[in-house]
Amino acid sequence: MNSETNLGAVEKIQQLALESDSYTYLVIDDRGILLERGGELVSADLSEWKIGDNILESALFLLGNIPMSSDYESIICYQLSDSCIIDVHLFRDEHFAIVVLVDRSEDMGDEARVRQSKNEEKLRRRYGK
Amino acid sequence: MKKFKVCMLGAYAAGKTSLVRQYVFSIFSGKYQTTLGVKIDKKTLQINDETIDLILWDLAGQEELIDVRKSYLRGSAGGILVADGTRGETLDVVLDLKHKLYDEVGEVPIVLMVNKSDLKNSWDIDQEKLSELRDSGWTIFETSAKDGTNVNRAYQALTQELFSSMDK
Repeated sequence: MNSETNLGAVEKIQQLALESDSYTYLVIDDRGILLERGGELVSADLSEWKIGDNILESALFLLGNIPMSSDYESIICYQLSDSCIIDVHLFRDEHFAIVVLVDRSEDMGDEARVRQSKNEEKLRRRYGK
Repeated sequence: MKKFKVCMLGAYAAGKTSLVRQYVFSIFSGKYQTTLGVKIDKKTLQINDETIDLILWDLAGQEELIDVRKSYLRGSAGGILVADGTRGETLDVVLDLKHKLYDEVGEVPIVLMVNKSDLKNSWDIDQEKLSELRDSGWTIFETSAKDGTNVNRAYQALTQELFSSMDK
């Protein structure tokens, strides 16, 4: 990792790892080839992504973000599947990108219920039911 | 294979998720389910003898997304704007979202879907405003995620525009 650009990135990744015990990281090159990986998500099985594979085909959230045009990017609250919601953090280094996926499924359950009932209430009021 | 990222934008409960599900999986559920953040699906289709992938970013309704929308929009090749024909005010939301999209990625091709045509008796959308938009060059389809009316046509039209814009 480029030491000058990524001191902040290392700190941010450490912070993300401390905030959740369900996360995974992926190191990919500019073409999307998976170079390294670690950790795992409790709510999703990402075992199909193997070292040496181009993961851009199935990691749809990377389209438009790889190669990276800025040092840091995030996609908050991505519904990877019905049961898995993640935050995606992307860090750029000189020759590759580090993608950290943080599992938010548990925290977002309440949020989902609140928004659902709020929107249903707005619709009820809108239609006068 | 060409890939285009396309964002689905509109007010909450306009039918964005249902339109994607109808287009990609040919299914419809009448139960409203709020989208949190973003869902992403892929549809492979043929245009001009070429196979292309549309990567559809189905974003939570406008009201929930003010802070994070920019990162969702980045890299979009086009947009589908969705208004709810039974809630006229959702057309104003769409107009606002078009500006946000253009601010982030420039003037990419867009298509407007006025959804819920199966409930046309209950529509209160401003037809005059729609006519004005049509006259100013907008591509507009009256769609129904429920019965599939014009759903394929609308996505196909956008894809065709994405292709044409590549040649410019």
